[in-house]
Amino acid sequence: MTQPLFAELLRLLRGGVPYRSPFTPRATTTARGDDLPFKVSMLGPTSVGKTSLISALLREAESALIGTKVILEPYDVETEQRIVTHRRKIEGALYAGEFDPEAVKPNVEEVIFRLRLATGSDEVGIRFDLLDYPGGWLDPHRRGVENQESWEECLRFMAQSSVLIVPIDAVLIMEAQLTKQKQSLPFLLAPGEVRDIALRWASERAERPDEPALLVFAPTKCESYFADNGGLHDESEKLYNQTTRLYGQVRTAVMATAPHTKIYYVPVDTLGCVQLISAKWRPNAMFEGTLECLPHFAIRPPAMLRPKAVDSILFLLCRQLTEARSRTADVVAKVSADRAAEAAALADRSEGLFRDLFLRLIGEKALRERSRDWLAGEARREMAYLDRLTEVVDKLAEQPHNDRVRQW
Amino acid sequence: MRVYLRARGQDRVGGEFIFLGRAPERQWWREHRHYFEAESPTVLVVSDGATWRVMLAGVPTALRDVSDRAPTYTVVLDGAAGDPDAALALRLVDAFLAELGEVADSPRAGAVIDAQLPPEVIERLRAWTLRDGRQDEAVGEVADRVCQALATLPAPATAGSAPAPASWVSLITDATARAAALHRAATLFAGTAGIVAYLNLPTQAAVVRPLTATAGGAAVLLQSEAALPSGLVDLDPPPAPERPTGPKALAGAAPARRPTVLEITTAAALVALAVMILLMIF
Repeated sequence: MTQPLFAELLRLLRGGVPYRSPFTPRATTTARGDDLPFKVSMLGPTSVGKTSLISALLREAESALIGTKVILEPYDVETEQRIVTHRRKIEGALYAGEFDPEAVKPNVEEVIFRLRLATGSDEVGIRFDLLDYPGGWLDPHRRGVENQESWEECLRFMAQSSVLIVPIDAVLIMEAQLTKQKQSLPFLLAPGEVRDIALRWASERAERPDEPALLVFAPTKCESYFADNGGLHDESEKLYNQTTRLYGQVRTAVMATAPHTKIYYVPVDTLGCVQLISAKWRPNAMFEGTLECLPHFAIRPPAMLRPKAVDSILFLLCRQLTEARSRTADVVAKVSADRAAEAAALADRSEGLFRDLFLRLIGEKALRERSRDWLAGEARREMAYLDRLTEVVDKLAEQPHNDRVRQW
Repeated sequence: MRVYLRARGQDRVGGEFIFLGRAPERQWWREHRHYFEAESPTVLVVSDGATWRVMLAGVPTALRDVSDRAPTYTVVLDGAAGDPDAALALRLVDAFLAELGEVADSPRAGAVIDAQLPPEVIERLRAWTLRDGRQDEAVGEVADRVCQALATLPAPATAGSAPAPASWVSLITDATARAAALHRAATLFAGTAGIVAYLNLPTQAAVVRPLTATAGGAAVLLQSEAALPSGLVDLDPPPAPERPTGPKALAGAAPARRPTVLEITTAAALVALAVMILLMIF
């Protein structure tokens, strides 16, 4: 009984100012403690290079982010083990001197990579989860009833994602010359399904205008269409034109729904050391009247991984997430500063000789002073965190975009 | 014994992994997904004492799809304890563990399935499943063909295994550990609860320790790069006797004392005095 009465008495003494004891647990509103992960999704049908792109992003993160004050690292042991396994397979395949398609096995089930961007000494970092799944699930006729539930979870994940990356098989776009081959592109690249899911994603983003919304169209397997990474011909304009033509509807629909979305076109070489030798087209056995493309690649000597523009996707991703966290940190820092100021005003307030003496006697004055000091420290920490994030955002903004990158 | 086979088709597009005919009602192996990549070799044999379940993922095949990629099989089996067909399941587990342990001249689990399910049969069964509404026929044919394939595998040596801890972990390349795992799997098929696994992601014993909570214990094999000493590593060593220390122990040693009447009266008088002082101030 006495506890609420006494608390009420103290509240009166403090003039109704909200009070936080230094000994109570941390509030959950600190920017650093807010540990819900961002979500990042790949969106594309089968065999367009989703897993290869993820593998390249994770492989390149360490070297690409040098000098940015950011480290991309696995958040859990499982993800760490997955990354190591991917890296070993690719490096082993290249070390053998020829490109072994077995190194990139088609996905059997969905996978979530749990990652974090560590910014300086911050103990939590910015967490984000990255979704990969069998691309065939985009088509209900090929999904299999057993995968329906998992696919619905993937759809929910994609809709909630802050960043959507659309890998596009550049070989299909560039090697489709004949009418029948071009007619097969919607079947092979599923731009219609991509548009529907992107639209659903954009609707969610529209409801959260303060959250980041980044859409990256990333043509993959571009090694043979650019002359900036060992390729012999520059067909980059043709690739851009064809891609924007095929995916123009996706872009238009997203911009109409969530105009604050940032859209980029980033054609990437995930390996950098392969050369397209031939691309044969054959009828698809399951779907009459459609063709599918069978590309054949050779390894360019000296068989070393030389990815291109993958770092640009990393910069865009990191910058987007860091900016978003920075906005939250800004709000939290302001709230912390206000609370510290209120606590300081309360601690330094003179309430007359007798009241001051009484407050000193019962220890309330000391408690207020401790609270003032603690909240001032907290405000300084939040401000320092905000400064660090701002510095990181600035560093990431300074990173030169690869010449291939275009804002679309 | 019920048989399920997940296979990829020849087409680059449209050839996605599906269970031929029908999938298991519940993808029970997903609760262990953090321990393995479903694309790479994995073995799970689980029993609750009454029923057993087997899942072999990443079973290599000599087949290639049109993109020259190597798809893999996922084989799922289940049955009741004492099911006579469990002998076939044991042959499969034995062959796959030997293959993963790189035993010379060991039979290849994928090869015997390839022999019974050539690409044209897989394509036909996929079409029955996805397009033609002939799932029941596909289920029957898959079961027949897979059982025939398993019957061509040699029966494992059924000699007893050396005593093993209730839960242990070891390397897949350790022949003694493989024999112990197979022996444990045989007991699971016979109606003992527990789990036998080859997991392709963990590289440390500590990561798989939660599996010791499985009723009946866990026998776990890890890839050859895992940081483990040779032999069976006990995952569940007996706990060291606890010494009473700290506040909990003290609280336990001295039960709370009830205040005396004098103490209560004094406290009440002090509170009354404090209230009077406060009233004077305000």
